[in-house]
Amino acid sequence: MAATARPYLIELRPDRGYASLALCAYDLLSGVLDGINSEGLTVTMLADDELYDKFGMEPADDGVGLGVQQTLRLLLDTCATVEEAKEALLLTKQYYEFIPVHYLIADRHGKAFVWEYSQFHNREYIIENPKEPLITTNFSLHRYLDGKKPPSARQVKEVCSRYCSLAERIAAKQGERLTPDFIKENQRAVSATEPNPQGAPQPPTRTLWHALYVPERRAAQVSFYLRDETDPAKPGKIRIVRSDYLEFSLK
Amino acid sequence: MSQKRLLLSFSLILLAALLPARSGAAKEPGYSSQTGRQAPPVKTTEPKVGEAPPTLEQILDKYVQALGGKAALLAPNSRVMKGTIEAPAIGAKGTNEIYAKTPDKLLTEVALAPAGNPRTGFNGDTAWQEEHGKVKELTVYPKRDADFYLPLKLRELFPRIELKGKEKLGAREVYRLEAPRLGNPRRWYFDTESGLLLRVETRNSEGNLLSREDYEDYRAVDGIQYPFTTRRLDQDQTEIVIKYSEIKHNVPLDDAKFDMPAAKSGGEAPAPQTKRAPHIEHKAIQQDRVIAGGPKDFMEVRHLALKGSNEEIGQALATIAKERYRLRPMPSADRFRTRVGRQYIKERYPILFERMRGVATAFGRQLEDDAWDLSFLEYTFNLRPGCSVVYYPPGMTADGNGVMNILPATC
Repeated sequence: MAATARPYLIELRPDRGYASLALCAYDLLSGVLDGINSEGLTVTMLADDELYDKFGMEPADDGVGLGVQQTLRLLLDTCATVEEAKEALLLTKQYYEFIPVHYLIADRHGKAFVWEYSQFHNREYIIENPKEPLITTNFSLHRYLDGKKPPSARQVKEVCSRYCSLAERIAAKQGERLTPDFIKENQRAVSATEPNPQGAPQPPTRTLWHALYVPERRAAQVSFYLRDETDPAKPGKIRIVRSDYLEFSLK
Repeated sequence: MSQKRLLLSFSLILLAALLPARSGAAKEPGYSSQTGRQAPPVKTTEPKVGEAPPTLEQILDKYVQALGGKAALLAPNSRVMKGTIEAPAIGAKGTNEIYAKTPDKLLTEVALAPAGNPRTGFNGDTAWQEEHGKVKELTVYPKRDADFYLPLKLRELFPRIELKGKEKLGAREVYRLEAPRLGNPRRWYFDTESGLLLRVETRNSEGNLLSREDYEDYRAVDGIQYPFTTRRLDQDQTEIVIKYSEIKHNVPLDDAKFDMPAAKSGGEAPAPQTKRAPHIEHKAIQQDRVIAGGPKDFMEVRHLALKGSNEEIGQALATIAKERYRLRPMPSADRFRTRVGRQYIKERYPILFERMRGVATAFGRQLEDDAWDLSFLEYTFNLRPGCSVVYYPPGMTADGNGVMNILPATC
């Protein structure tokens, strides 16, 4: 069974700290992968494949401080805004247990930033793109900055096709107000859909959930991957079955 | 590494219990597999002119003497070994206990929830395995390895064992012995000086490595030398480290302890957490139900709503971890770091500290006990999060609300 096959949507309403909704796996106590709190602070993490591909890994399973999932839980428990989250991250001694990650944090005021460490874990990067979309995949944005802004699709064409695809599709809609349908379609365009080799013992690579968090409304819609099955309309082909979008709110 | 592979690795950790070795001059073999990579290839050398190579019998006799002698090896009739087990590359760690009794009863218990807390037993007749609380009989089991007096009976149990030559194993010189074992040859590497057994490995008929165990940190228990550290490497290069903290002889062990738990037997072990998962009562739990998927799907998602003090929330989460996933408290890998880490959380993140207090209560431990790391409840492992995320600011969306769009992928 894959590590992420039994996730929890954990809703906490503690007597101290903000209420929160978070999708969790690995660590039942603090294992946040993405989530939102009652103040609208929204958090997620992504593996930074480029960092460990190029520079190797230095996992710390007995680190002192907070691991990456504990760090996201800290933000949900204690921070209301992006500015508070930046401060908390700068003040927190952080380590990663398995592989390096970076975070994307947003708040109800329309602010967002990406948090990254350098390859030597000696410098923190806070990357923003005010009033513009902020895209993050599995490479270090800080290594390809366009001035102080995130890289353009052209800059990272050879680094990550998903980033380029998302950036180009959004750029093609310049000047338009983006609908939820477009946003969902945009995410489907970069979903993992490679077929599972026949007889393969492992599950195929799949996008586990499509989540849309709306910080202003303290709400989320999530569609979960369920299984691959034979497509009755296309004999011999496999189709991906997902749940409907389920809606959750902290209000 | 797949969870299945990890389970296989744990289920095969038997040999370490059965191969005591002499302390000798070297505290550790002269090589390392700590990186989880293949050790350098060994080189066979010819005996020097005038140096008569020992016979197979002489090597095995020296091995018995190195262990403490035949009389010492025959003295105990049971053995209990306790320690920690760890897969450093993926951050998985837990406890490992081995119970052995004459003539050939053996039980290995690994407490590691992500691996299903596997138990492997052999009562001299039937071999079995329990994972995720489900028991099945093992039709293939290395029964010879369960012999309590294996070091005394290598020649008898492996009648086709042969001396293949003298080799270098890192900085050490070793004699390599080999038995064909139905096409999957097993190799033993004995230190030429001390007589220590430094390595055992199994290969397939093509010569590819199936498993390897390296033995380190030899210490005496009742006149018998045991390697207190075993490093296991399997065919996908995953390293598992077992460190024993306690080895006792002649502990009374009921024969029934090694029998297959009949009431639970039968069938393949299903996923540990399904709709049939036990209903768990705790005053902080407001809701705990499946909201998507199920036992037949890849995913089964539960919505867990908790309300109360942070101590109550921590206690409720630990109760779920304990009852649904059979999680046990995580032994500290380093008590000093555990103490300092707990102090950091107490000062910088008191909410988590209060939840840890609840975890301690659920497990019947003291929060201040450095022997336990209570800051995690790892019920699955191998974190590899995230795929693509886009934040759309309010000015870009149709309804004027910012949207964070997240797509994590399978790991």
